[in-house]
Amino acid sequence: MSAAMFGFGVFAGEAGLDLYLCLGSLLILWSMPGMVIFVSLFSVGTPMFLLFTTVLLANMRQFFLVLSGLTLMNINQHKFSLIKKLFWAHLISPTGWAELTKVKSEIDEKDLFKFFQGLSLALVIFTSSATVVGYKLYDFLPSDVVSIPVFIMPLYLTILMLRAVEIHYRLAVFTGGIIGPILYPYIGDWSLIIAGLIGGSTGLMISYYFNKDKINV
Amino acid sequence: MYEDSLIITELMPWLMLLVASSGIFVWRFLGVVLSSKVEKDSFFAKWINAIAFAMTTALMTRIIIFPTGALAETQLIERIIPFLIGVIIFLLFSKKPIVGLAAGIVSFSFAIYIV
Repeated sequence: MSAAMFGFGVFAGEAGLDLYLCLGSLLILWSMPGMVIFVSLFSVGTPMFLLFTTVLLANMRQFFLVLSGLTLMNINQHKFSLIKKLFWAHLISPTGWAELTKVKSEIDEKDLFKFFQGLSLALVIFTSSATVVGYKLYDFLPSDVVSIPVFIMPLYLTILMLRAVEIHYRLAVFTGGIIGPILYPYIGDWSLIIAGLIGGSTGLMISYYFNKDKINV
Repeated sequence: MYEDSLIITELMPWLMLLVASSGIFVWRFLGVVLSSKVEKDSFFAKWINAIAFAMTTALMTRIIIFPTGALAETQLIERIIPFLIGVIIFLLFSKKPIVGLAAGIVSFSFAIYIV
């Protein structure tokens, strides 16, 4: 994630954002598609309503990530206020969520939230630092050097998700990973939602059909 | 008057950022509200998790196939083959994810510098 934010720092620097706004967009949006859309549209002077609508439509995945992440951590057992829940929900990113799915079978459920708190703090510190470094270096680094850290994030997260033990999640990973890019040229950001719905449902149904006992519904 | 317009100009980028963040906040708020109604081990929770898995992978493969920024400067073949090498090596040595990751990074570096 830090590698990707290094790339974002370069991108924001190229687009002409000042450093504070660049860091502000990282911490306030905490969503790569949202950040990229904000920088791209802001730099060309897009009207507010169009900016809001584009970010809204491109970030529906946050709903599924938050719902899934909070359910995995069983957040309701902690009796937090709505504000506190919203604060931690804000910090659920694909990386944080993927790490949660990785460790959920390794540590006690009651410790998952503490793990997430520590992970989020580390992510905020490292991604902020990487963004500043990328922003400061964008004038000096050739694009092929910058592309290497940016390439790491999609590969790392795909590998993390393939580590899922449950077969229905692995099937969802393969199906979503294939359907998403096929649909993208035709329906843009909606391809993520459609790929998620088709991939997730297909994975669960195939696994349920072939192995009713293990899926335990 | 001139000073007022200067302040508005200074604040406008932050106002735009708040507008953009409200577009994401809507989804996070809905997720938080509905999370209190979903049982952790229910079929619905598993379905939502499976959707999140599929959607996140769709996003990752999209970054590889339709990238923006610095990654867009490289050829599709230079990205997709190292990505597949990394994934396949991981599937062969699934207890050591770092092996797949390292294989993918080395292949990508090799592709953009040597080939």
